[in-house]
Amino acid sequence: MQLATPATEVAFEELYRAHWHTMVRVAMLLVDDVESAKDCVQDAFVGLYRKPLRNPDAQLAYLHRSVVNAARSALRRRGTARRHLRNAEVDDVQGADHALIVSAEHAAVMAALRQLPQRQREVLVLRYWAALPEAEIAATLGIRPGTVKSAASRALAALETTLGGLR
Amino acid sequence: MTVQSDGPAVETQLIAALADTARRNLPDGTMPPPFRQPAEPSRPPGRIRSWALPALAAAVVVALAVGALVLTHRSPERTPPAATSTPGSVVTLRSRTPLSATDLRAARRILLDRARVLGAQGGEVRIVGSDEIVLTLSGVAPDNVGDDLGARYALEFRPVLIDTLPFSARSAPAPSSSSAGSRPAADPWRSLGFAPPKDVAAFEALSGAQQGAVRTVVKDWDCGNAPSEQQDVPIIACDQAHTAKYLLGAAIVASDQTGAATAVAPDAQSGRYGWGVVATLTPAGQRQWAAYTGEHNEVKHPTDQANVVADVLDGVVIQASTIEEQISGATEIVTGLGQDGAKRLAGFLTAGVLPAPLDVVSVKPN
Repeated sequence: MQLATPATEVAFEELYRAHWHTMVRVAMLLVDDVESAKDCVQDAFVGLYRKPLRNPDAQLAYLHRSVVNAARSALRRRGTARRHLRNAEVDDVQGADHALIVSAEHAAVMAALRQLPQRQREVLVLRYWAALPEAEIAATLGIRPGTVKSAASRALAALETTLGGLR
Repeated sequence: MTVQSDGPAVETQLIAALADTARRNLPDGTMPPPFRQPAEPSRPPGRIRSWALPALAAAVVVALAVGALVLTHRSPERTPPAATSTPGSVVTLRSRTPLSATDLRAARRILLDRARVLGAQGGEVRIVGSDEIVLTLSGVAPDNVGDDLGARYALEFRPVLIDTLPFSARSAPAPSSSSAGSRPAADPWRSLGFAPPKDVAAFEALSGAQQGAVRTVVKDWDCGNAPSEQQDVPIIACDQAHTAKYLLGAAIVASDQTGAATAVAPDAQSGRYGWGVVATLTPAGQRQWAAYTGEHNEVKHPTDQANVVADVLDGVVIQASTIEEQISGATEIVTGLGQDGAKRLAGFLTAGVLPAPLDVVSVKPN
């Protein structure tokens, strides 16, 4: 098979090295654990390897879209029909011994995030972690920019309510 | 956590939490594993998910094993004992209260079933008095026995009534002298003055002041307290790591309504990336579960609090999740375990619920 010429192979390797880390973090925030996140990202890069894009500017958007889709599949299939929102042994909070108080606050935010519908969570992660502009979030999720805005404000309001109960 | 009358905007908190979580789980500078090219020929473009994933998953596993990063604190999977030697163990378990003859018989059968899950090739059970059980097992090294051999393994599904509260040692006035587990089960609702809510509707029907009183009880709860095992009463439960506190309603499915469980292998094509455990329910349990999930799910009432259900094992929340749609079959209770962990959990659940918790007093090589 001749999928990629040596030159594009090199380009692909570069792309992989440049974006693997970023993508795993995005996926991790969507699926809650690093191992699943790495699988999602591997999946996304395989897609790109199989179907190289002509326009290099589109690659990042493609990766984001693939990662979000892979994360959705991973979440969807975790329960027979239940979405796995919060695994009690949350990796992100027990990993470190330091900064206990700060991490309790962050754990509360992450717990609240997990209670949101997945679409809202995706919007928040892409907006506040990946820092994508609204138009790109819309393209990634296949929704209209207006929907991004309204989903984000609904999600923030829900977070505020949940976290407000803590004070 | 500190009390903030004028806390940072939720956006600021969110940004900080996302960044902290991302950095902690995947530290800066973590190198990617080498990219493994798909071994199979190309398929028509457009599809993102790949059927070559099993091979890839294997490649990823290899890459991870070789990879230098140490991010997870997950315990490595145990290797089975070498077949050449036949290690054995003598395990002494003791109940905190005397057991009836019936309970002792039940415990004996369950413990032998659990021993088989651990890989015992043979074993015998000796009952000493009314509170001590001595297991002599061949084929199980002492290291593989585990403190949970005598745990009840009572699994229940309970609704999560309010949003989860973080637990940190500072937030609870915990007496430092007593250790968890040894403390008697406390009744958190004694001082409440009204019946604690058994479900979300009951909580929402309370007055604002009453809701506040319930929240305060939850906030003051110490995760070191032994969790209550009363199934028809709301409880406060924590997760294993003691990072979160949950107010849980009366059990939707009680521990005597769960049946055999099976470990299910990762199946990348269907998106299950780790080993999981699927539990079956008794016919009555299944009816109750189907009735609850039919009424409370994301399709019918999006973002309703009553959609959130916790899987509770011996009073500890092992997972809380949202019901997406009615569940009328077996239910996957937990994922992300290793193969050994999933098989052990499934096997222990299948063996049944011990009539009382047994403390592992000693484990000696035999």
